Amino acid sequence: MRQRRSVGLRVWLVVATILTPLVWVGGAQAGQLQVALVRLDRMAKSTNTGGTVCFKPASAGSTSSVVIKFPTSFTLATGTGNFVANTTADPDSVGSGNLYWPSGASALTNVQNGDGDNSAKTATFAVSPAMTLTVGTLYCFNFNLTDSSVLVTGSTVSGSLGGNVATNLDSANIAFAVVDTGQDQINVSAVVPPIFQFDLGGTTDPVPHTGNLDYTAVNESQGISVTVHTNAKQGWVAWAKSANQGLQSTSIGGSTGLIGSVGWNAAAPTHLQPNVSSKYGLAVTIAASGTSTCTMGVAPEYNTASVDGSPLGTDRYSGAATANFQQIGQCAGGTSNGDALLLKERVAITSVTPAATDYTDTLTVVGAGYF
Amino acid sequence: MGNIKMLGALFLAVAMVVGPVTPIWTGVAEAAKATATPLTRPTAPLRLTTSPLPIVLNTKPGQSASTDIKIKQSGGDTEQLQVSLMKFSATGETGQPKLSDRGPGDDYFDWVTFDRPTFTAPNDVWQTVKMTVNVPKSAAFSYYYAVVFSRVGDTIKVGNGQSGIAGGTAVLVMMSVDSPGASRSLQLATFSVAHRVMEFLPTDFTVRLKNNGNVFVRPGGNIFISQGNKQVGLVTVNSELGMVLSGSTRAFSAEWNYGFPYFNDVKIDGKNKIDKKGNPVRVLNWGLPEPDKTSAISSGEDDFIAKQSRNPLTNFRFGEYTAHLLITYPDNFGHDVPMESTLTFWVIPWRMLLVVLAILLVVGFGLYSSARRAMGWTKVVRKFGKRR
Repeated sequence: MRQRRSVGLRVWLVVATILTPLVWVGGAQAGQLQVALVRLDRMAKSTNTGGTVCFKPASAGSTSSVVIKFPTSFTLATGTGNFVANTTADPDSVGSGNLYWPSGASALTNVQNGDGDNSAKTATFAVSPAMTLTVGTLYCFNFNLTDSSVLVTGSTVSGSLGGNVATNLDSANIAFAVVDTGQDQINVSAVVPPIFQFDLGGTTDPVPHTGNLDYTAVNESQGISVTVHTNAKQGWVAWAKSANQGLQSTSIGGSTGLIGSVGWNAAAPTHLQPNVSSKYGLAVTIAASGTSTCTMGVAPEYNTASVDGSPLGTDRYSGAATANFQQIGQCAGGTSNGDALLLKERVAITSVTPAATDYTDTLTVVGAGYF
Repeated sequence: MGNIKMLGALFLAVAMVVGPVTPIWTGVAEAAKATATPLTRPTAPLRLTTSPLPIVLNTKPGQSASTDIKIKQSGGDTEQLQVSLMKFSATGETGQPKLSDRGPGDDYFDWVTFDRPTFTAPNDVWQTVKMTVNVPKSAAFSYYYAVVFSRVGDTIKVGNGQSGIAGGTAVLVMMSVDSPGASRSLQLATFSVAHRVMEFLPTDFTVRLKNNGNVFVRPGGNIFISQGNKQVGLVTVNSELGMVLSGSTRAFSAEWNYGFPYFNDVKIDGKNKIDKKGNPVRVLNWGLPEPDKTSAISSGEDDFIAKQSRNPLTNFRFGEYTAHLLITYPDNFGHDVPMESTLTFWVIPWRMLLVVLAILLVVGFGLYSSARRAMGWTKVVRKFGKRR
């Protein structure tokens, strides 16, 4: 009898020894979510927040609810359906590769708006109809995408506050953190300074741009552009002055070696007459009109576009090349994004203009914004 | 004799000390000069960017004022840049500067120093130049400097029938010196509207302010537009934060366009299309203007528009309107000095009214004709009835 008991006890012990670990393992796989997280939109204390819930089930089967338990220091609005759920994985609409949800996450598509319960500190989201969850798949949904007062973080800073995520099959404890006011956001500030960019298209400008001066026609350079970019709200202005007030030949020297500038003619350029008189001057036109709010204009003394013959022949005009800065153009009343003037030198000579290879002038162009 | 020997020995000693120094000093000066003035003319395109603009300085007699000016050259090569000084004044009434060289008696140019009158500027690297104005005790009121940055060597002559082109960018610096007798004073010269009677908005206001003080002033304000007792519009004056220089007059333009319908400027690539007479080309827009949400500066005008009804019919403009200008400027103590003026104007959409009138006339004539015809038939029926 005693031997029978002993055998029975041994068998029971063997069976118990074999089964005990299996029962423990099975219990662990059924109850503990593989992954569980609640990412709050705001972590600062006493702040309205929404969040994102993600979990990876460990147990196969269907679930009809997901319950989030928040820390006791949090304040929830008690109500039916007041935790507004959605399954938008890309609220910024940035397309594939967006990082709003963890990589590979699937939407918990049947999740419904949750019911808040402040006494239990829970938000219960029904999953209707119930979904059969796949073990190892990460499921996510958002709540309160537009932060509202249905969930308010605790008023005390803490690095670890207990919480829980539970489905019908599994659950897992999670940790929340609350930081001090302003510690969960980065205030980005920047200053756009007022700037003025001045571009001169070249540094030399032969007249004419190929060959020698011709006494039967008005000679013209290819031109140098003056381009401005500025965020000054009132616009800009450009001036030019001439070092020699004409084309000066050093080898001839003196007034004999000077093809002098046309005289100052207020409000209109001067007619150049080939083989009548030797004269030099500046012609200014609008080279480019950028995507700007300012209005381009050429000073009337240099605005040859309005008086030049069409087609261009010998009938050409120019403004005076002066020793002091004279306004050649402007872009008024707004910002400027690539507005440009084109500055050309024009020369008329006669058949008796002294020959030399070193006629030259230096023009200085300066730009500035309005005050 | 002994004294002469001693003097000779002293001279020799001084010569031995000074002698070696002098060539070293000369060498430094020449080296600096050689660096500042390249023998060859730069060939790369000139691209200069400066910031900020314009600069406002305020100081007292006997004190100094300074400012940092940032400059960058982006021509492609490392360049030598130089700073020079000019002055500016107002030309016209639009805030346009006029540059001038130093004139006789402009001793205030001598007060200015730059920590780096010439400097090496690598491509695309911001450089900072410090401008300091050491103001003497005799200084007073306003000074207008133009700090011109240019490239060293650009003025070297070119030959063979070419014109050399040199360029520069000017940063305007306005300095006020708070001395006894300084006066910040503006006078409202005129407040006008482009047309007293118009068919549709916009209406263009002009505010001309004369600075009859001796210090530059920045005014700011609004035009409040009302019909009867109801405010219907708000326009900002001098949203560009422009200055009125001492002794000059400046005109500020302001446009009120919040109405239905309204004429708006035709834009091509973001710019106003201009007709042959230089005026902006406008087309009738059957909608309401949008507030400028892109503006960096919060405008009371845009805030006002944002609060208005977007219903076109409630913004239909018809009748007499009153524009009340309230503009202020800071006096010597920083207190706002207000200036006010009022004008009236009419919006009469006469072509729409003519169309409506024509429709009413046609409808009225139709009704009248129908009534007459009906009366004619009544008479016929009565006559017929009597005969029977």
